[in-house]
Amino acid sequence: MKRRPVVQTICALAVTLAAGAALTGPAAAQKPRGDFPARPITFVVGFGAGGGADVFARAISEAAKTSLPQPLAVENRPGAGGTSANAYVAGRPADGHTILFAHAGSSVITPIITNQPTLKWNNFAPVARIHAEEEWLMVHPDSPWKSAKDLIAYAKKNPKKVRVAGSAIGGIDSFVVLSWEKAAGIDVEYIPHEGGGPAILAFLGKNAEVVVGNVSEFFQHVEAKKMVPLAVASAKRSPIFPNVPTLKESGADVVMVQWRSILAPKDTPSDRVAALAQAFRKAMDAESWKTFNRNAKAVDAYLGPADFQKFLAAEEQRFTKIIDELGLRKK
Amino acid sequence: MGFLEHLFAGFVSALSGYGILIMAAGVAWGIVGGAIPGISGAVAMALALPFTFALDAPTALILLAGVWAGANYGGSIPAILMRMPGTPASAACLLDGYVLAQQGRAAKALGVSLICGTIGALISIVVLIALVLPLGEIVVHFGSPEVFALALFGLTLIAGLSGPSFLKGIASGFFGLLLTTVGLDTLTGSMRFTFGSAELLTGIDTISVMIGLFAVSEMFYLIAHPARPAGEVVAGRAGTAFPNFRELREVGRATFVGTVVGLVVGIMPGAGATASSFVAYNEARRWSKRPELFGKGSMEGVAAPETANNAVQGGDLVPTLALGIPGSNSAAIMLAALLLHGIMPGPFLLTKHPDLVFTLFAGLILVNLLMIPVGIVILRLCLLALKLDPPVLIASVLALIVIGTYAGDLFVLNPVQALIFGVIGYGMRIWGFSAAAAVLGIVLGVLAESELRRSLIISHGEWSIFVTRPVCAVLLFLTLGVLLYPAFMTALRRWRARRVAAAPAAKS
Amino acid sequence: MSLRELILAGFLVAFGGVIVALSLEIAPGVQTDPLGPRFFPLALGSGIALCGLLLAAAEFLFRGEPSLAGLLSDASPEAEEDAGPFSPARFLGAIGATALYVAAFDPLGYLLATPPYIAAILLIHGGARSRTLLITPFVVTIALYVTFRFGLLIPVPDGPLEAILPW
Repeated sequence: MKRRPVVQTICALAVTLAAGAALTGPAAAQKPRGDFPARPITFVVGFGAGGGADVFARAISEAAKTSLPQPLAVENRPGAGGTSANAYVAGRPADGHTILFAHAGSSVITPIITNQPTLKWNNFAPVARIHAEEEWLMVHPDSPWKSAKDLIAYAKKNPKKVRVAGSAIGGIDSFVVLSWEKAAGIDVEYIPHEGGGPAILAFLGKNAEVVVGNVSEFFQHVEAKKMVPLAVASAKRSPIFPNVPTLKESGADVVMVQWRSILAPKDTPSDRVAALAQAFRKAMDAESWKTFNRNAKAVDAYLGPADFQKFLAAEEQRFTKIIDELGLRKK
Repeated sequence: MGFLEHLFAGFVSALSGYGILIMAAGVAWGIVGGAIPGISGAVAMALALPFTFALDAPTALILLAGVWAGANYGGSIPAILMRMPGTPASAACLLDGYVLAQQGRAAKALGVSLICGTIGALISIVVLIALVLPLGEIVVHFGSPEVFALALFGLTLIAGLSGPSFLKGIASGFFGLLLTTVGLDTLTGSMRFTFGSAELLTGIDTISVMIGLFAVSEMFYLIAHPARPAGEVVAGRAGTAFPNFRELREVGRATFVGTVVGLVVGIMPGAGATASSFVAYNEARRWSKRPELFGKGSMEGVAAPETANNAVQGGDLVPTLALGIPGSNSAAIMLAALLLHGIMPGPFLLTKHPDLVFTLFAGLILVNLLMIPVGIVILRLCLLALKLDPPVLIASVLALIVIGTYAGDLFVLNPVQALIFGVIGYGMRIWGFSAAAAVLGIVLGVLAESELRRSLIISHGEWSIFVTRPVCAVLLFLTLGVLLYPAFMTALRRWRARRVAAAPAAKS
Repeated sequence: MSLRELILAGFLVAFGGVIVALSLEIAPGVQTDPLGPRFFPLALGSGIALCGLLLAAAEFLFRGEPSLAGLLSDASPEAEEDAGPFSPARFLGAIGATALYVAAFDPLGYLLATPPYIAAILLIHGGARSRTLLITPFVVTIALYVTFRFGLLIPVPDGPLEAILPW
């Protein structure tokens, strides 16, 4: 009695779904095996869609359409400060068709803090460092401190009074503040948030005196006169706010930038790594990328595989020292 | 150009070219994505992002707006039909929705969800359009203490979800809250309950656990207790009747409550559609003329949460458009689309790109209107699925759950969690605990804990912050009132009864 | 007095106790906040244990008073609808089949792992005609695969078939 409708319904649904999918799904370009890249490359990002890492990945992927014969497909695998994605990519075949987004937090700091050496950068093949964003400290327009020196002087006399809002512990924002505390000999209250956005909201609501983060998220608020730049955590003064001194100039040697980069599984053949690196280098010349960088107020900071590897080793040394000094390492 | 002229131009822009087609496609995609368990609105929007590259910025935004609106409704379809929340925001509507389906009123429940949801969305968008800038000023005053107070207020629903055993309900709620502590703690970087495993660092996956507790446990229950005749096992006589005006009027109060809750919670940073749906359920029950029906098949129990989770759309967009700070994951994807089109979101978006923003406003209204026709079509298709043989339906649902929960994060542990909590959910059911209370704990746990701790950091350890801030103090007072009110009323009744009984005795 | 209720209460106390013990190993207030990561799990574990104690107390104290008993503990465990008798074989079978399926999901890939799973569930549930048994696993598998892989563009694991499949 129910035989016909059941089978018919299933068939009808299946056909509809298949038709619909065929109409909407992309056609896969066929390339002969042995060529690289032979099919779309998966770009795994350890953070949710819409966030800074994700937007970066999509922007560079779009720009890479000018330099790679196959498209990059962004896959979000969020979790554990980005290290979930690290774990996933480590298990992928090392044929160059899977690459991984990395920044200081996901590839150096969090693996060290959480004692997961297999998820650290050196278990992957560095492909390229792409760009870097400045880390800034901002205060309210009516703030009593006109410079970082003022703030340091105040903080020395009033430990734990100054509240600094930033993103989660383990990310670069938190490290800028934590190392700044150590370098300047002060003690402030760091208030971690789920991301840059919530930190800015907290700051705007006067729940914090200072906010730390990427310049791209702050820029428009400065224009809107809701924030005043205090100091930048770079080696040299920023072209964006040339009148504002660096943290180094203000008596605390802290140089940290939010760099973003790409890694690949460890045993990826070096010629494929080199091909990817070159493709990204070329992608950085694309118009869409230049516009994106301009809006993000980021600076291109390309490093090829060999140089990037040396850079990562240096970063690990630097951060390990800070982590141990701050006693952040677990177990 | 004046405000209304801008808005009119926005409508013209949204409707131009293939606008209607794109918006309808977005809505359909969103409904399907939302209906698939494990794929939330944000994930559905992220999946649509690659398509936006080929479009110009305004069109990209209205496409994403369509997906967002669709997903808000889509999640309620499996929730009502199969006790399976398609998105976390639809979990609350299954409390009554599935019962209604078992009573043969699935189509009416789905219709209420669609229509009331659309009403809530439209109202919240109109409020957004009218008040975006002033609301943008207000939103920064909602900080951690306020969100904590809201979470606490929402947790009072545990009492209502406990069923016959209050203590077991509380324990269930505590269990849910406890689950949210597993993983990496963002406030200190410490690892809790991870037992050295890298996989557990991410903590539990909310949607997979919800699906496990509600849907997988239900499937296991149906398999393990095979007494009922085949045709009646699942929503047998779904009926195709749609709610008529009289029925819609009956849920009017609940819809109103849902809209208000959705608007308020939507504006609060951190609290989103899921939290608002549970708070709305709680409030609708409190203000309902027939509270005893809740949990046993009350249409209001569907109307309120579905209205609320749609009504957060406006609230989410307030900080997004006024400050460039996304109010939710879904809003973050809209901002990402802007960034990828070379447009910087921020406080100047409205003044620098008014055409873009007003096209979005128009688009939001249009996609929610489009929801009704598109929603009805998809709804009828889904109702067809109920005609499948029960074994086929159950097997298909389980297979769908596995791939669906995998699909959101591409994480194989998600289906594992769905399975484990399916067993746990089954156990809770036969031993008198409340899976719903546990889910409530899961939904509000992250908010409650992190905002509590953050509030104390902000206040330098002073607990008084919770009473010195006005909004927070009001919310806490309400929470206290809500908890004490039933006890107070019972005591009052007993005291009056004793007085009445004593009076004739005194006279004699 | 219900033995079942007492066992459940005991379980709650034990579970809460374990949580409290584990929580004490978590750092108290690290670096930034006074409550620290320990507070919440500790409080919740204690809360659960307390619920267990109260439940046991209610079992002992209120068994003579149905109304109060109803307030504090589950008076009628069989409040379920017209449920059939519990079949452990089917229950365990369903769990086992699902567990095997999820375990095989990645290594075998979706297309290989799903049809046997669907067939298994159909068999365990019973009541499916033989033709349905043969057709459904494949139709459902393909329908879902197509929807997710091509409609939603989600990379479904292909397992060993990855090398063969043209897409």
